[in-house]
Amino acid sequence: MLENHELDAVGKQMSETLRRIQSESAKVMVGQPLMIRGLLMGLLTQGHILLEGVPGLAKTLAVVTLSTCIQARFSRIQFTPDLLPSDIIGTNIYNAKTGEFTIKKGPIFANIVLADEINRAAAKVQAALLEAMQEKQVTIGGQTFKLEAPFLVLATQNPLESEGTYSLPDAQLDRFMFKVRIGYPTVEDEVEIVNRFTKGENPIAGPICTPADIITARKIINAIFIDDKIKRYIVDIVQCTRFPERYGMKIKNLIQNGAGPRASLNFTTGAKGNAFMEGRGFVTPDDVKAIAHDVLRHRIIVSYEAEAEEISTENIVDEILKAVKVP
Amino acid sequence: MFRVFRGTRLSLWGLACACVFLLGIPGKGSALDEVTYEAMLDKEKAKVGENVQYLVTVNFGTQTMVPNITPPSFNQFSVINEYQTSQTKNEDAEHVQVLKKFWLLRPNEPGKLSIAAAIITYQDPTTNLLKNGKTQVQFIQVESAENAPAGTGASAEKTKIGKTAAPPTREEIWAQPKFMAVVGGVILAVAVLLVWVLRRPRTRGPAAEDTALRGLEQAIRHAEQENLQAYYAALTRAFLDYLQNKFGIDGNVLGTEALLARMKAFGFGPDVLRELETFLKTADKAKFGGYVPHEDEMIVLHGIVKKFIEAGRRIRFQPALAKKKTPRGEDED
Repeated sequence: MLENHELDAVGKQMSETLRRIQSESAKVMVGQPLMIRGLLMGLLTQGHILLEGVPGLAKTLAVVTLSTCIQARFSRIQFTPDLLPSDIIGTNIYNAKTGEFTIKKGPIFANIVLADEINRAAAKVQAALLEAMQEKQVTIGGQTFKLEAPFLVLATQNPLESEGTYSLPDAQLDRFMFKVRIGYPTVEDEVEIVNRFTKGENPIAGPICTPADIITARKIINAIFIDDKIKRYIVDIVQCTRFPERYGMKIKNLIQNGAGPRASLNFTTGAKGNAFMEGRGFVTPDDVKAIAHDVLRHRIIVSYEAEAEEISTENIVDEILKAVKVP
Repeated sequence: MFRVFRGTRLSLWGLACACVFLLGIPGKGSALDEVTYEAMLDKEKAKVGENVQYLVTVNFGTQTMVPNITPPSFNQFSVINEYQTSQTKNEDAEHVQVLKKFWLLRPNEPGKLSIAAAIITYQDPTTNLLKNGKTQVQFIQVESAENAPAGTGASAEKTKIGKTAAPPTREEIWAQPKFMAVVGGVILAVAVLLVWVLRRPRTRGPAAEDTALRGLEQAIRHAEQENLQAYYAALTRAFLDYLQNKFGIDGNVLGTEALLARMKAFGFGPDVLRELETFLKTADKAKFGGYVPHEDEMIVLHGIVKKFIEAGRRIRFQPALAKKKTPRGEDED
């Protein structure tokens, strides 16, 4: 897979395949390259993605397009306050004719699961989903089922409405590898959306690879070389969110809680994934910087003071990246 | 209707009365559609030990339960007193109840202090269900008691609750000799600074190039000792420091891609950028990918950097294009 920290022919072919997926998705999706890239990164690095954006930004379309491109099974769960854990993972149903219980698997048995508006469901439902995400298996009626690889959960949150929602606790937010924030399209992109989707025939993406290819790509990513200096750089960034004064930063009053060790792990795997997508067999500081916002966005809790001064986590991450010395 | 419901006339009247009671008689009952609440502090700035009034007001209809106000923890303040009032007022021919709860607080420490949200538990007028709401977080800038100007009394004793002493007039301020002396001093300092800025030398090119070339010589020493990682680290450092000193581009905090993009925006030509991209990417490979370049390649890369630096002697430093130099960049030498 790797020769002297360079991708071999298979690795280069896989990296090229991923680029083709991105360009194929662009036939359907207008703009939002970060969303598709984030989804691919999640698939490749076995992480899950929390997507934050207002309704109507083609989140579902993005997932459907990606599923088509990699020929994966896709399901969508709309989270509502009356949703039950069994609605997600499945349940045991009694068959009156045969007098036996049969297992009805829930929508979580898919390669890509879109958990739409995850903060609308009660805590026990969120916990059921997050447990399945972590364990990659579910238990129905005492029987344990492994979830088929690749398995990616894309959860969405609407940042505008907070009435009647159950915000995910910080500990559960930490289980998402990336939090990708998507915004409105530009004027040019929106004109293109109108052009593309008002002709009566919506564009469709074609298959590019199979789920097995994604698993092969994962093996290559695991073998990607990461130098000790880069590991140290990653840990320095994460430490800086906890103890900014050690890095000469006077922003302690703006941060209520810094990122935990899981951020370092996600940084490392994410940076490897980014290097692979760039066609490299080793990680550079650029890979770390490319994913820094997505990894830290939901892990840094800003203080009331920062909120009052309208300082967001984005600003804090920018400052941290400036302060921590690049190796 | 009475033909159909024969013998039930009284019951229907009773039902109608109940409906009227439940819906509220127009003009007399409350038709307040929503419960509103707010929290506020009576001042934005205070001193340690000075009284500050925190007030939570809840407006609600007459036919809903009296809301409950759960106060935040005032852990940076001493609570001197608290009291609650409730009154009914007539607003647009509708009865509205107003619940007010006051806390008299004294800040314990200087700085920007915050009071977390108070929780309001109320009955929703439309669904009759109990709901929780939060007021906004309040902030107050607190100064230490020693900072109080003489004569104002840095304590709450001289300040009535909710009212502050009248500030001095403009004429009174101008009449103070100390104030005049400070204004004169500031004007003089600004004038001296202006003269210095206008007369200071604007070019610092030669020094930047000489320093960078010395850095390249030091890098070669690492190569002679066959420490290639250190050689590429030193070579890159010399190049990045030169960019910082000459053009104000802080390459030490930018990655390779971002640096090239920045240089492109700065106006460097495509040929220069292509060469530098080769250098930076090979240096990345050597520093982070365990790549060992051939001796010829090392000579080429060294040449690229040297050529770039020497060409810089012909470029006049343009302060308007340069970004502010960061303290970190200066420390790294």
